[in-house]
Amino acid sequence: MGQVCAIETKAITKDNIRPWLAAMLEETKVIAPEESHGDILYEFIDSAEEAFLDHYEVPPWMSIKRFFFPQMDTILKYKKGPAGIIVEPAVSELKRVIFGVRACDHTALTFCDKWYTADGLKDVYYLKRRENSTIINLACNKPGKNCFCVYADSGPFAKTNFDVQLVDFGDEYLVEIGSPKGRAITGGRYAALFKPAPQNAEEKRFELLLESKGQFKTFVDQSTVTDKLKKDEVPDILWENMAKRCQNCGGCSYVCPCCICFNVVDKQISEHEGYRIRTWDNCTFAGYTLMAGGHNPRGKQKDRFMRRYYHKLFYEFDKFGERGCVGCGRCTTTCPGKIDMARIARSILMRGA
Amino acid sequence: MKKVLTTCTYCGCGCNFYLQVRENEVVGVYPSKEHPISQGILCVKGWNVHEFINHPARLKTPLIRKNGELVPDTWEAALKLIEVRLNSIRKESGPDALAFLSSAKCTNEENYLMMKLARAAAGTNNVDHCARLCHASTVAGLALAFGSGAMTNSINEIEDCDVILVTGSNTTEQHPATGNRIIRAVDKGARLIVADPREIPLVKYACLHIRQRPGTDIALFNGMMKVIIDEKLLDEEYIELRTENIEELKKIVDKYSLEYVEKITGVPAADIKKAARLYASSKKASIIYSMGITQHTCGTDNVLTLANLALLTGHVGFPHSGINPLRGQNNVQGACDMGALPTVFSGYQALSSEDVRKKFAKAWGVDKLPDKAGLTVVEMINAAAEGKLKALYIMGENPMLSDPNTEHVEVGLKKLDFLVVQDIFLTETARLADVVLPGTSFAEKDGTFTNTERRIQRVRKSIDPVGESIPDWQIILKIAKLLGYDMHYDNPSKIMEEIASLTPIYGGVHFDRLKLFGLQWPCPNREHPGTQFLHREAFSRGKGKFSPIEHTPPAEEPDQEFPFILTTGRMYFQFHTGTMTRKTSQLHREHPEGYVEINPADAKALGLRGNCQVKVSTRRGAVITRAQVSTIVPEKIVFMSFHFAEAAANRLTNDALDPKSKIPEFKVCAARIEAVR
Repeated sequence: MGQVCAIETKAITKDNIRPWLAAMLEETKVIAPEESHGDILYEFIDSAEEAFLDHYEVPPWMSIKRFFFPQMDTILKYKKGPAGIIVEPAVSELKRVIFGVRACDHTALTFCDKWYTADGLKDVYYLKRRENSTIINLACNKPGKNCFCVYADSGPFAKTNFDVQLVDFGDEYLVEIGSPKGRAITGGRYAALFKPAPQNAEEKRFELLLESKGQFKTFVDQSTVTDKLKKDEVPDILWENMAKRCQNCGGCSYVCPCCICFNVVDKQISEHEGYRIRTWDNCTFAGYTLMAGGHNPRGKQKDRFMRRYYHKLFYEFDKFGERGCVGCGRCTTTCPGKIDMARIARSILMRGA
Repeated sequence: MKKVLTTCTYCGCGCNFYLQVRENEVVGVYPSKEHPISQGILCVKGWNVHEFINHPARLKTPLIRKNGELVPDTWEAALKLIEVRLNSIRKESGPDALAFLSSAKCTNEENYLMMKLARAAAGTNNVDHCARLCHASTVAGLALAFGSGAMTNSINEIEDCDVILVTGSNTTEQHPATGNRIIRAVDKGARLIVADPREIPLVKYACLHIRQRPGTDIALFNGMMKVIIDEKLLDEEYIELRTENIEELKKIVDKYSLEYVEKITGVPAADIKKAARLYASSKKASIIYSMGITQHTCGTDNVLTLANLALLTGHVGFPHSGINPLRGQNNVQGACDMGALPTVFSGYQALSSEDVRKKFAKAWGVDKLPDKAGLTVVEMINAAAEGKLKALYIMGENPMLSDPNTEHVEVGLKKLDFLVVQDIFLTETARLADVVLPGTSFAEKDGTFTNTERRIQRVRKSIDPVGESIPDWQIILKIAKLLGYDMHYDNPSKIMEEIASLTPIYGGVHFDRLKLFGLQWPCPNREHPGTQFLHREAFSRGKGKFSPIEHTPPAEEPDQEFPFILTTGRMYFQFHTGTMTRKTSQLHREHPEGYVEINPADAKALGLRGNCQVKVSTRRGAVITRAQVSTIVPEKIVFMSFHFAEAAANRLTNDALDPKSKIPEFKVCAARIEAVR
């Protein structure tokens, strides 16, 4: 930890952030945190003034997942004409910059990349959006109350793969450039907004990182949990008691930046015309595994619930060397049954064999 | 892409969420984290609310019946036809040959306009809505006991209760945000009593599950009251200072000995005693109920009995303790508040009062308003079947699935000379209409909904109306004009200004005050912060009134021919007549078809296997559905939900009415189950 995977470093004063956003808006769409009725949300902004740049509790409510994998996405349209059936895929070509992305969400995105290219398959809808996006990370100097990215090895500062990462130095940000895309939005016509990185940047960054790491309030020892799952050391009664609190809302996977499951349905406009959508799905729904004949291999809530956590913490770790949880803590907020990742990990560690 | 904060259109909890909009289509949704009810949480219906809004089946043009078929036509043609037909019927048969069904799905402003349309433009009090079918008995009962028929407390108070008595409410499935507060309370150490024949999910959290026979609630609660009186657990000081008529209650309750109650309800005496002691000996004790209490021929009496229980123990008029009817629809509270009812104007101002009629007549610029009480929902259908009611105007309701004894509903609707249905989809009811008008969903208009805890909240427009549809409030203005009465409002906030000026409990409600937290009525003036809980220091009617109530059996009891009790309700993934949820892929996938829950012992006796086809019949009709063999229901009781047109539970239900509130007895009727081979 501590080493910087940047190809170049610069600095930008805080006063120059809005002009930078304004300049980018002249060329592309920009997504940034916005304040709305007390909530901090990522949204397309029309002007630099709309971006919320003050300190706010991290991470923003709802991840950037939905800009890559929308909740409901039309993937193709079909029409039956005299010449036969015409199928028209609907792939988004929109170019955009996403500003203020936190390390957890950024890590989640690189994790999703693995899924959407796994086993030689390429998900064009996701990958096209990924290709068309430039991401400006904002390192977290002060974690939120439900955050545990530090234990999920995904934050509070992004280590690799970012386009640009900003580190808050007080009056200015250290600007770490990590890719050609990052270079494009910090050089050229934007170059005048930046200045050289300060002399002591590396030490200061290291200090801030240590300081941030010291502030986490939620402790989740994921590797021990993975180990327990691997060895099948979690008693059934624990799963049963947790699963019984599930309210079937689907919220855990909807807010999870690492959840990638979807369902595909066709919507008919007329006898000859229609479109196909994919929508977010959740593995804790009975319908998720229900088979055509009525048999459900995971018919019980406990089985579905247990598999969800085995999948996130063990199977995915086994497959990719990474867990399907980046410690953003959003499920802690959204789970009405209080059986979110942090609490489950805690239960397993406290009671599990 | 943009996001718009608005209020959910499903149940009465009133969660707020952001609709995500792209190119005039709603493509996603997520909860508000700061909102007092949502707090970053939604139920599965809320999380999937976006999918039906732009569904291809949305009505996009008016439809007119031509040669027996509904065909698309212009607004001009549809309105012309309505103008001719409504006016000629009114001229020939008088204004009371017309009736209007308002909608608990629509905004306060629209409901207010609908009752104004009926009263000022058409000249009839024949205006009602589905509240008749869910909480008419609450409005009647609590008004009698306390002077105000609404939840006494707020949803967030539940979390800090010591004892919660949930009866006739499957809270976690039907009011998930409220159910969530009950779970939080239990987590904090509260004790939960569930009194429900079915083993609903909340039972997992309960320290006591009472399974009274359907239709025996009065006996059960009278039995609890007798224990409380005998063991001197009553709050004498409270009774002395804040209530009246206690002696009458004591006289009646005295005969409800534990043995007698056990015989009627089937509940072990020890459990009744335990429940009584638990409820009476806690300070912060709340009763939460819903349609399991209200939908009976003794619905009003059930509500009065719960009121008696709460008064006896001094459990009304404080934070965390009270009586909390959970309203089913997003705006059923508001539709009642707005006076879309045949006997009251907005704010429950009585039609029978000449002063009130004069006040409204003056404000609305008419000479006088009709003084004869109008027809209720089921009475309208009966009047139509008898040929007395000639024209019916339905906004956003689907009586062909939601009303009891739907075969009879169909007869009534078909007998009408003229039926207009204004809706967003071609519902089972709209299929019978002469004219169908395309209204808009909650995402396409501005206005307010009032949630179950009396919280008036903003509904914000996120997209333009789909196709040629028009926001419902604007349609009502057009209809009023056709009837020769001009109303004009620039926008819904102007309508609310008029409501505030005429409705004391909404006196301080103005759109500019409705921020994230809304306002809870009563809110009499602009400076008033709203009211978190009711009856502090004094009841709305002065003193809380005990009403002595005797147990009365349901209108129909099982016999040899129909040996089962059929009770009906709802399930988590679907909502009401499925108009929206069945067009939402994820929700529909979870529960695509109807079923009847039957106890394993009964299933065995009848030779039924899980998922096999069965015929459920009652004196009114029969449906074929699938058996779900489950211990959720006790022996001799079967349960069906009413969401599915293919196996419509309401073809079976009894349209017998509670004489006091005219609510039908959805919860009990006698049925027969047969295997289909």
